[in-house]
Amino acid sequence: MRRTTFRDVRAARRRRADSSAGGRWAALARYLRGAAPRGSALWWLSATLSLLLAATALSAASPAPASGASLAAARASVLRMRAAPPTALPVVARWTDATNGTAYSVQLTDVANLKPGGITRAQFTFTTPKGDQLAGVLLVAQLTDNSYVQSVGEAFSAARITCAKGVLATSGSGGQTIVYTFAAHFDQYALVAYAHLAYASAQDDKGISAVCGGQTGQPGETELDMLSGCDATTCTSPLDTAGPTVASYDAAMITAARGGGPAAWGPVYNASSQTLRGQYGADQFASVMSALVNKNGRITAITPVGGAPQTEFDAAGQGYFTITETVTVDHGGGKTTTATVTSYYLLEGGRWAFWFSQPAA
Amino acid sequence: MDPARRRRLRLPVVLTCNFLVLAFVLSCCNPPKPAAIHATISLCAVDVARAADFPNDACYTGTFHATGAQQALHITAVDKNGTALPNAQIKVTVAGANARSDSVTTDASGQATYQYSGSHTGTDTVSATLGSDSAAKSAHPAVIHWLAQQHVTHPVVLVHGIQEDATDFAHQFDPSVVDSDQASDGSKQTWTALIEALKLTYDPAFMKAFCYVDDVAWRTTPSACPADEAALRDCDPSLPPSSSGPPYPCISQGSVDESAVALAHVVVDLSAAAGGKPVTLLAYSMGGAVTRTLLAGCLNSAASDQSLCQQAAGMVNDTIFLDGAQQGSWLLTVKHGFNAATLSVQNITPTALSAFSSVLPLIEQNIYGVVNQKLGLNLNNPAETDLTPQSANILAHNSVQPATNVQIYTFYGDVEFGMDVTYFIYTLPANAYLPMGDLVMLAQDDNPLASPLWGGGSLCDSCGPLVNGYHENGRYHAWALRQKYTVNINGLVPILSVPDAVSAFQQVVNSPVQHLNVSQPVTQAPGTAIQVADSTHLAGTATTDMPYEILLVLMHGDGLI
Repeated sequence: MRRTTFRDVRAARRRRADSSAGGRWAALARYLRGAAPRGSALWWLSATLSLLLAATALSAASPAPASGASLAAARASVLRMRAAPPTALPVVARWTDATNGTAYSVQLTDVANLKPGGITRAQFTFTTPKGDQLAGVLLVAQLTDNSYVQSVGEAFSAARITCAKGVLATSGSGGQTIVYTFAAHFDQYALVAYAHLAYASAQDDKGISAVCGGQTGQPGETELDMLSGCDATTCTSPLDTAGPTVASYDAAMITAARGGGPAAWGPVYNASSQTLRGQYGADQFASVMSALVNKNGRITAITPVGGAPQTEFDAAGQGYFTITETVTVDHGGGKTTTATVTSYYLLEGGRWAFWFSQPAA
Repeated sequence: MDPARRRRLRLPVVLTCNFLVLAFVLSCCNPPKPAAIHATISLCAVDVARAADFPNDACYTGTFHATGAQQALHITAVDKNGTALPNAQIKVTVAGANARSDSVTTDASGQATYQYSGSHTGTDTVSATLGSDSAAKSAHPAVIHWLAQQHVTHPVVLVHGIQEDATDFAHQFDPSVVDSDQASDGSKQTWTALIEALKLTYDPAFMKAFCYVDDVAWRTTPSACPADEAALRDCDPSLPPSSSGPPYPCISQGSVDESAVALAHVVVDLSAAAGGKPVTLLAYSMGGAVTRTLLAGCLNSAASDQSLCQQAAGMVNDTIFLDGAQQGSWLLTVKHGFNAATLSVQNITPTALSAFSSVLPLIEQNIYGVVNQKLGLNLNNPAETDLTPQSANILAHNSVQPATNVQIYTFYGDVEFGMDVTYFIYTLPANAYLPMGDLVMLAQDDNPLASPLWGGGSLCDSCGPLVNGYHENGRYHAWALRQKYTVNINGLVPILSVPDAVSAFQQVVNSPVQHLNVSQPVTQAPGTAIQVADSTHLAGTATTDMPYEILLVLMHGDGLI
C-alpha cells in the first residue's frame, strides 16, 4: 500500500474545499480562478465584497475543522514518522533513570573524533539515588557498530574487572573515598545508555575484594544501575518512536479534552515530561486541565504541519525534537478557532515525553 | 476594457483589496493601548558622596544624611502621554522625623529640585503630588535617614568579593585615595549607602578596605592598601590579569587561606591602632570565605599563622556576611565536572526537584555566562579552587564553629524560581518553586559545619523557620532576601541552543538580590524594594533597608541607641 504523505493530506483538503460548492470559501476560490462573470465591469467590487465577507467571517469564527477522514490520514502519517538522528554528538551527554534514581553523564568533546576501534579518555559522572556523585575520567572506546563503551581499565571486557579509586562527593557534607568498577555503553548518537557502578568504601577490605572480584550482593558492596533506553545488553532507538509518540499523545489529549475524568487524563499525564509530573500529581493535573478546558475551549483536532521531526541536543546535551501542529478548539455555541503551536518532546529515560508547547513562529 | 487586460489587472487589484480589508480587520481588533489616565511624578534623592564621582548616576530611592545638612530631591513630572509638564506646581510632603509640606514648580523640561534640611534624627518619607491633579503622585516615596554626625571609634574592615578592587572601597572610606578608574564604571563603586551610613556614625580613620594578597589594588592603586599589608602581597603588579601564576597577577583571585592570614594581620593592627577596640568585619562573597577561614583559625596554614588567626579572631566582635561564600558556589561544582541535572536541594522532595532537572543545566550555563562576563573567572586560579564546594579550604573552615566570641549576622539571597508549562493552548501554573539562593550561591543548609556538594551562602545555626524573612538563635542572626519569579518554560527556548541568549530567565538573572546585584545602589539605597526585618526594633517600622539595619545593629551593640 502506498504511504500517505503530508502532500496527500493537503491535496485531500484542497479537493474538499473545491467540492463544497455554495460555501463562502468556494465562491472566493472560483472567482480567483477566473470563474466570475467576465462581462461585469464591477468584478473588482464583487471581489472586494467577497474578501470583506471572508475577513468578517474570519474575525467571527475560524474555518470549519478538517474532516475526520483527513485527520485520520494526517494521524496515520504521523504514526509512521521516524525522527531524523541528531547531526552531531553533544558536548556533554546526560541520561537519567527515574526508576532507579540514578544518572550518568559523559563529556564527549574528544569522543566525537573517535573512529571505530579508537579509544580516548572522557570525564563522567554517576549520580546515586541519594544525590551523591562520582566524577572521574575513564576510557571510552567506539565499537564496530559505532556505539560506545566507557569503562574502568582498557580491556572493555566483563571477564576482566579493573578497579579504580575515587571520591564519592556526598550531597550532605564532605565526600567518601571509594574503590569502584564502572561500565557504561551508549548508542552512536548518545541518545540512550546503560551504566553500572559497583563500589565499596576504601576502608572496607572485604567490600573492595567483592567489588574488584566481580562478586555481587556482598556486604559492604553497593551496586547501582542506570537504564535510559538500554539495559545491560541491548538498546532501543528512540528515533523510531517519535511519530507514534506524537500521534498517541495527540489522540490522548483529544480524548481527555472531550470531557474525561482523571482516568482520561491519565495517558496525557503519563506521557508528559518530569517538568510537569514533578509539579503535579495525576489527579491534580486532571483537575487543573479540566478547568482549563472549560475556560479555554476543548481541543477537537490536532493536525501536524511539516515533515518528520529532527532530533536535536540542547545546549546541555539533552535530546529533544519539535513538531508544529494546528490545533482546532471548540469554544461551544458553534464557535471554533484554530491555533498553530510548536510542541517540544524531551528524551527522558530513553522515551520521548511531551515537554511543552509554544505558539508557532 | 479589453477582457484580456482586465484579467491581467485582476490579481493585483484583488491583492490590494485583500490587504485593505485585512488592515481594516486588524485595526478593529487591535485598538491602541489606552494611555495613562493621570500625569506621572517621579522622585529621587541625590546621594552627595556618589555624586562627587558619578554626578549623572547618583539619584536613588533614598540616602543617609547628617542632620543639619541639605538634602536635594529631583522631581520629574510628565503628562499622561509622557510629555514633560513645564511650570507644574508640585506639592512635596515629608512625613516622619522632619514632617513638613512645601511646593515647587517644574522648569521647562518638567523637572524641579526640592531641598530641605532635617534637624531631627530619624527617617523621613518624602512624596510628591501634582498640584492640579491630586491623583498624580510619585509611585514610590524617597526615604531619608537623618543621622547625627559622630566620630565613634569602632574599627571596621570591608572584605570585598572576588576580582574586585579594594581601591573602590578605600576611596569611599577616604576620598583622598584616588582610584585611577574611579569615574569610568559606577557599578564597581558598591555598598555606597552602607559606607555612608557607617561614616556618619563612626570614625572613618578606623575603617579599612582589605586588600587581598593579590588584590587588584596592588596593580591600580597600591596606596589604597594599608601600609603594613605590603609585606603580605603575593602578586606581581607588572603581570597582566590574563597571566596565570605563580607568580600571580594582581586580580583578587588568589588563595583564600593566604588572604585570611593577611586579614588577621590587618585586624590585629587595626584593633591596636584603635586602642584595643574589637573589630567588625563586613564580608561580601569571597570575603565571606576569607572571614570564615580567619574565624576558624586558618586551619590550613602554618602553625604560626594559625596562632595569629586565633589571636585576630579573638579581636573580632561582629561579622556581617553579605552573600558570603560559606560553602562555595554551585556554579563551580558544575565547572569541576559534576552533573547539574541532578542537583540535590535540601528540604525539596526529589519529585518536586525532578521538575527542574531538564532546565537546571541550561540555567546554570546562563547564570555562569552572566557571572563570568562580569568577573572573568579562571578555574585554574586559587580562589576558584577554594570557592568550589568541598574544597580543602571550605572543608577546613566548616569543620569547626566560628570563633565563639563573634556575633554573626548573615544576609543572603533567596530567589525562588517556578515554571508554568503550556500544553498546546492550556497553561498550567507553576506548582513547585526551586530555591536558588542568590543564583551564584544556593541557600539551603545553614549549618555552620555543613559542606554540601552544591555549596551555599546561608549561615544560621539551628535558627528555626524564617519569620518575615528573618531568624536567629543565640549569636546567629540571618536575613533571607526573598524574591519569587515565575516564567513559562517555553520562554526558555532561546537558551536551548545558545546558553547565554536572552530568554524569559533574564528577569531572574536581573533580580536585585542576584549575587552581583545585591551590592548595587538599586538594592542598597534607603527606600529600595528590598526590605529586611528590623531585628533591633529601633527602625520605627517592621522592615527597613539593609544598610540601616546593619547600622542599627552596630549602634545598638555600641550602646549608641
